[in-house]
Amino acid sequence: MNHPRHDPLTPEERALAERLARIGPHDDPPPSLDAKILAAAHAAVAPSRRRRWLALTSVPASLITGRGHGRGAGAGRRRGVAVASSIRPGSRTPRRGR
Amino acid sequence: MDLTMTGTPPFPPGAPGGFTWPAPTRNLPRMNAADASDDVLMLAWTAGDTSAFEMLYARHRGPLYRFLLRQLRDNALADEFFQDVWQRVIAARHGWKPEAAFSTWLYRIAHNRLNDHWRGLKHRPPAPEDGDERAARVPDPTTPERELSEFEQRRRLQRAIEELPEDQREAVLLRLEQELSLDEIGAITGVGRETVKSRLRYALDKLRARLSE
Repeated sequence: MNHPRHDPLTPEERALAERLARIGPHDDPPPSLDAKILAAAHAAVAPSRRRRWLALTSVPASLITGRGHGRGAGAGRRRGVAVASSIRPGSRTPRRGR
Repeated sequence: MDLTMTGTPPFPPGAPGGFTWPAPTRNLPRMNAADASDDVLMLAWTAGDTSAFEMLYARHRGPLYRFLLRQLRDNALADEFFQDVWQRVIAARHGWKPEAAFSTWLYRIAHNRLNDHWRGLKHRPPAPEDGDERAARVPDPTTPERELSEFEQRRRLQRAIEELPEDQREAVLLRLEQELSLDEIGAITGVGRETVKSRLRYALDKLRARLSE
């Protein structure tokens, strides 16, 4: 126990506690049960497969995306203008440098 | 930062149950493993340090298992409840606050699980047929006369505990086996200190009477 003890056992309680300890049971949980619980505790705080997969794939994906943007930045901007114009025919075409 | 932890496990390697003492924790600062409080271990585990859970588990597995076994008197059921309680601990780990002692929280979960069970059954099963036999198996190197007397005393105490009403038995076991304070027992069982005191008084009176027969 971590917290300071209040109400220490009375002598009568202490004597009974000792007798009770001798009666038992003295059993411990079976090792297979220990293994199950420890595995569950490990799994609960371990990064999930999905998160691991995302972590593994997100970096290369962002690198590829970034590279793509860098290469075709001008073309992308031009394509964006074309799409915007087609959606709103009456709207003004944004000027570069604004 | 030195991550090495030193210290003695609560029981030696190869102790009954074959539980292996966990490896040093990864994330805790330099400290003595045996001295790390439950609260520190719980916080470390929720932050991702699985060896902190192993230490916490090693500390509480035996007492909790025996508490359940004494209440249920059935190894298969005790196994099932023990697993349930730890699964609830794992699932509710983020709900635990350091203001509450870990052991109080743990035994409260066990208490709730047992309550569900008793409510489902509506009554406790009768004392096991092999109660006397189990009491007789406890080794005790003494003289034959004294052995007989002590066997009788053990048998009486075991019977007396088994005959107590659930709430009194739980209170007396938490008090005598776990050495919890009245306030801690109250927090676990969801009643006030005076009620705990009253349950303990009734239980001890009955035990005293049974043992002096």
